[in-house]
Amino acid sequence: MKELIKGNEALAEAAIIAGCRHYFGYPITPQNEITAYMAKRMPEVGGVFVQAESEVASINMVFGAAAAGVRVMTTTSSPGFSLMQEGVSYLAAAHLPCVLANIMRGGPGLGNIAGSQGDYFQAVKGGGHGDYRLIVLTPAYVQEMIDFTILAFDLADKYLIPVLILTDGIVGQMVEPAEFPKDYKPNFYDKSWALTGAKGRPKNVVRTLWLDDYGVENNNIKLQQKYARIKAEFVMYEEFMTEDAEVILVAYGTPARICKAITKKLRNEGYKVGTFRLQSAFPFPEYRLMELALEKHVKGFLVVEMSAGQMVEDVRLSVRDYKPVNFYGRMGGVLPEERKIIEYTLDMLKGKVEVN
Amino acid sequence: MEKVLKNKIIQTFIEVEPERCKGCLLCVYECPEGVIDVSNKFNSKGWIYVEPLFNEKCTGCKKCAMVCPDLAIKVFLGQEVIAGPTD
Amino acid sequence: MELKLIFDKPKTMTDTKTHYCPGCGHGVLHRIVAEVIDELGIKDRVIGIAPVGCAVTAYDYWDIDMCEAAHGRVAAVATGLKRARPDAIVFGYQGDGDLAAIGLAETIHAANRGELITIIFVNNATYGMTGGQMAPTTLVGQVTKTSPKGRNPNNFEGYPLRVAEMIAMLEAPVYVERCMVTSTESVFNTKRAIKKAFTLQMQGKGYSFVEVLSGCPNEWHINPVEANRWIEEEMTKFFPLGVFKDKYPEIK
Repeated sequence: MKELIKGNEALAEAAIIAGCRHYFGYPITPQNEITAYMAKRMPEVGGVFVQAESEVASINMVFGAAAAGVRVMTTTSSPGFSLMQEGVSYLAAAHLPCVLANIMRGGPGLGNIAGSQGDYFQAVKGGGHGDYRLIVLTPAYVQEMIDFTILAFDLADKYLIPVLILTDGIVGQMVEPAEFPKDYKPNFYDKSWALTGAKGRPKNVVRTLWLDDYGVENNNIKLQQKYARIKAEFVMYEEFMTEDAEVILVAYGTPARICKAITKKLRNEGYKVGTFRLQSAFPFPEYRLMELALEKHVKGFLVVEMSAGQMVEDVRLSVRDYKPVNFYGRMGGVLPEERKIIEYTLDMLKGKVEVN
Repeated sequence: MEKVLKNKIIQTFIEVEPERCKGCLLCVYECPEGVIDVSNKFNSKGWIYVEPLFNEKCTGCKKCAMVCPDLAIKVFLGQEVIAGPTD
Repeated sequence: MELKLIFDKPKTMTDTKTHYCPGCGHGVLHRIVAEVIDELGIKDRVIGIAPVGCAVTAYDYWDIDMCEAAHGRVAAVATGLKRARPDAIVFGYQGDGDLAAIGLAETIHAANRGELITIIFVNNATYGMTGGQMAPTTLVGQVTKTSPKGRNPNNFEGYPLRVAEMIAMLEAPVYVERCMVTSTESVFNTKRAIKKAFTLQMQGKGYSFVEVLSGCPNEWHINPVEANRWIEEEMTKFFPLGVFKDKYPEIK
């Protein structure tokens, strides 16, 4: 039964439904609703809520709880997520499952508290040190804040990897109808590697340092094999009216909703426009984008982001030079304007190769 | 050290494991009886290790083992019952 | 002759020879912690957290569940671990760079929250692993790689941090003591302190903190025996030994 829920709170309750009983957070707008919600809700379900002294501390508390084998989450926003990068690198290196969320705000620096997408590189290309990736899911709807968070906990345990919910402050702050799954049963995986006290078994060690010659390389090989397996096993995106589209708008998060609305509008005026929406930024839907680029009916792509253009690079890598890939974005938490998107789309429909 | 009690001989002595000793000499200065001292031999790591040169003076007080950072010293207590006055 | 071994390796210690320098206090302290774990019978319940520093590979020497924390974050990792495994006995083992420099915030806040953990703080007045730099606990006048003319407060290099006293000022901690490992007597005393700290955690009484003055002959450029004497004569002047807080004196 649908109810009106705020994105942030939907994410928080979804984590509880997914069996998360440990949450470590720190206040930062625009995700404060999550910490407030967890402070109230966790005790109700016999869980643990800790407000840490910093994001550096909260991510390392997540490390400790994850090492103990429980489902654990922390959420933050851009500047806070920057502070967590070292911890994220350690979590990835130690193959520890957990769920993270970055409800992005305007940046760089203190920026502002408006929704933004300036952290794509940090999230997808690895903001911490070393060769590691995170599974990155990009919800654009409150319903997806629920579904993707529940999925995130399963993916984290399945692949022993931190999973990041990456969205903008608008989706976090937005209230819209959404529904929690009825009697969802989390699928708890075997975690015999966890630290519980070596009772009746040899000791477990969770480590990321190897000083011998090939220890760290071996760990990296294991990580790369994992990422290859992830890329082979799943990727998430939505295609909206792309079957015969001549110009395809590519976006994720709030900009993707704007693009879908424009797609409907231009379709009503007889223009063949479509929207391709990322639901996972890693794995990135590179093959599908390339396939679309090879379609005769496709003239080109217009990537729309709330940033100076970050995801656009991955689109260009996927599409190569089969078709032109243009970009329009607004920075500092400003929403991309509908009329500009329409203007550039119409230019491309008329065959203009370079727009903006 | 060997002590003869009414009907028992008690013997206390130590053993040093050469490969664990790093020649820090903390035990040499801690031992109240001067049992241990530097040997003139090297272990495989190149450390000059210590040896119990005067085990007969060892009282089994375990001080050497308490201050040893590398668990290189084992302390033994030997007992042997002998015929003796049984009053 | 029936031979009995009256001093041997604690069960909780592995056979691995340690990498520590000759005369290093870590070696002694590792054995003390292992003896305490044996005597309290918690080998299968205890989880240790190693710092970044000389003791980073402590999991090679203790036969217990362990993890490494990022530099300075032991107290935060311990918080997460203990909250996730309340029935485990969780202890952090840190050097002075790890705890008192980069990790001071995590240390103080975990203590202030009264987390049910035990922190063992090895104070050897230097950064050992990285080659002997000035630490927050380096004494005034002490020469290190990064205070080549001796630590000088007039040069804005500050004074040594008395962490045990700082922790003792907080409300939540139940037991705070500073001891040392320089002689048999001090080893006994340190063992008593650590055993009490673990016992308080086992009884759920609260947060316990034991600071241990420990020799680093290699970086102090003196031999191990002189190092211990330097601790006893110089370090204790600035870092007095003793119990700074004890809410449960009746518990031994």
